[in-house]
Amino acid sequence: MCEQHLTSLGFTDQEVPVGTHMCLVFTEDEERADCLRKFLLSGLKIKERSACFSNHTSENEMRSFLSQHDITYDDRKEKQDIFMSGASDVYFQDNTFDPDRMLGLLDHFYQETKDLGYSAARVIGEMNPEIEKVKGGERLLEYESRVSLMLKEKPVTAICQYNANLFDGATIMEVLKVHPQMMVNGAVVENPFFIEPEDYLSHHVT
Amino acid sequence: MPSDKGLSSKVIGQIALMQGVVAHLPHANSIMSFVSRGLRDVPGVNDVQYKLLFSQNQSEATKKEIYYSYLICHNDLCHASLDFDVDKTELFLPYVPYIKNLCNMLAIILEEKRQKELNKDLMEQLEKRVQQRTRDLQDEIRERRLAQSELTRAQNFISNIIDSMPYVLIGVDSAGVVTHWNKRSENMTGLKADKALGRKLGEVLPSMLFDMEQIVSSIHSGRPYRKRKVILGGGAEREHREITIYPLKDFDHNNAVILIEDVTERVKMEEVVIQSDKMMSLGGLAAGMAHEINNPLAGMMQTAGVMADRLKNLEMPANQRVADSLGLSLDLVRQYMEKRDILKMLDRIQESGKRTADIVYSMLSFARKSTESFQSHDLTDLVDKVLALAGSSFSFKNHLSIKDIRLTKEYESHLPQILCDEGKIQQVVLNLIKNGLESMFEYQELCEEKDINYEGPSFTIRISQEKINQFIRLEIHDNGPGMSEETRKRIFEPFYSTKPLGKGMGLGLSISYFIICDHHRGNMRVESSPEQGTKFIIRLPLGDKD
Repeated sequence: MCEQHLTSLGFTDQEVPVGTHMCLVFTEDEERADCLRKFLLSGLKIKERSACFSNHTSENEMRSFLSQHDITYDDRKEKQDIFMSGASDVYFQDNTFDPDRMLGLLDHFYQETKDLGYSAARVIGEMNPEIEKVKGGERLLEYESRVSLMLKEKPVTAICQYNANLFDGATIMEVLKVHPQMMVNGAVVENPFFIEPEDYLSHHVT
Repeated sequence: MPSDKGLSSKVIGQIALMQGVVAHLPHANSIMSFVSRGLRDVPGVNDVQYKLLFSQNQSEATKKEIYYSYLICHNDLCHASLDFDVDKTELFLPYVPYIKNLCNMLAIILEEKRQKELNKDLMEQLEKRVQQRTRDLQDEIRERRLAQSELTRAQNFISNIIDSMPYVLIGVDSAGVVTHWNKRSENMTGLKADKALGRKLGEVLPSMLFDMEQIVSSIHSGRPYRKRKVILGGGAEREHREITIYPLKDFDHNNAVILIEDVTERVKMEEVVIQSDKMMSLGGLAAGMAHEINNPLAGMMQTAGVMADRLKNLEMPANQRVADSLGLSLDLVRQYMEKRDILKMLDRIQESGKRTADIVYSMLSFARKSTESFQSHDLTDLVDKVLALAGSSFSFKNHLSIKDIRLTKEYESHLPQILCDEGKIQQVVLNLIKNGLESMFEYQELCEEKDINYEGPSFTIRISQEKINQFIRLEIHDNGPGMSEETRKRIFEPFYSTKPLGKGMGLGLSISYFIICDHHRGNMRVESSPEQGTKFIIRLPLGDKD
């Protein structure tokens, strides 16, 4: 495991170790958007390389938000400080959810960030209920657990956003089990439901 | 890690975390599925199921007697139950207080969610009703605006109609307060509508035009009332009005519309028609009578002439021969005739016969109609010739003539010529001038005798063109004594004369009337009243004579 150093998430005063894998359950879209914007702004301010996968926050929206903080989105994008893409475009290429491909992307993003000399990398993405219909969607929890495993060696601070209005309570509970940290009432907490990836993968993945 | 009491801090933490998370889940199903899935990690528990109850009665929910079943109730309302399939009771039981605590919290959260849902439903319903009502109101406003616009348009249309009507139209309520006042009303009274509306009728309309009692009576009886030929002013300028009161009933309000029509022209036309009919009738009668009188009159006059010849002419052989055969002296017969004035009587018979023949000749002119002598003439020239002739021919009492009066000529320029009989038209004009001069000179003398202020005789002669009707109009206006209504109505009748007996036959104006109306198909009328002068109006058509 890498030597831990702390980083700011932007949407909470608490600092968390780089490589934190956190679940953020939301019910209001403004809550989702607010966390996303602040997370990316925070990363740009502390010169961490950021990636964002969202179907609901556009580049234009981000451009406008960052301009209020004297940051030119296009300049930072040109410098590869920030990367934005639609969540479905990234997660469901060819209408398939492939955990191996996704982990490969994450690995590549981490390596590239390191090669470009950034202090750290951060990723925020929202999961869509489309996952329950696409091929490979049943491997979501495996993927999340493997992310937790990978981040132990390749620390990328990762925030996974889940809309409680679109996923049922049982699914949310299962999702919690593969995220070591979560946000509860505005605070980052260690997740007591978390199952270490080694245990989870050995018991739940054939 | 298990505690002293056999409790795992991790499990306690899980239960505590669930309490923190459930508040952020959207609805009861989501909450209960989340919790039931999470509680499966409680030691000793094999499975956890949940049911959403929505029961009003807690005791009924407990009747199910499911072992380790916990009802999630708030006051008397049960929202759900959690049913535990426990295989190791001794491991499970230490967590029961925490589970019950979680259930209590769930009850509060579920009740809050339910209330929120109810409020949300109510708000949605309210919002829908507000939106529907807003739409209804917008539709209503639109319809009312449309209706108002239509009403305004209709009101303007009606107002325009009312204003463009050739009548004075006044609306009044039962108290006699003016409610409507159209343009004609403004023109007649000089009072604008904004000054008239709301005022009593008596304050804004001349009292001679209306009878308030009659208006009230008409309103109450619901029957229209009409009063004809009200005369305003006097003399030639007299005007006629026809007043109609129409009662109106509008729900509880009793109103009336007063309609005042200027019928002066209509009355004049009616008079002209009546006069024309009467004159044609009288003319026909006179011409017929003249024709019947003419033959016996000729016989009488011829016989009287023969008688005179036989009594006066002593040299006639036939007279001498008959006297000789009878042994009579013609000289003695003549002396007898002279001493008995028989010869003078014969002269008087011949004079009277000649006078009668003149009358008959004039009467026959009523029926004598010919267009052979019609030619184009400038009426102003004809009138000027008559005036020149009158200046040299007529001499009245005290050697007065047309040169002794004020004469004003108002001729319109560029008048078209008319087809007419020059001699006949001059006869008419000459007759009117002569009559006018006679009456004005007599009136002047009368005024001098009675010391009445009189400005002196004057004629105003106007000639103009009525372009709409294609008539040439000749007005001969004197400022003489005028005439009574009775005289005015009969002035054109044959043998009607205001002159002393023997001073006129009373045929001059009759013949003039026939020349204008019958021979030239024009019309002729007179406007006059006592001490207001007299105006003869002659209208001659511009069209061809057929």
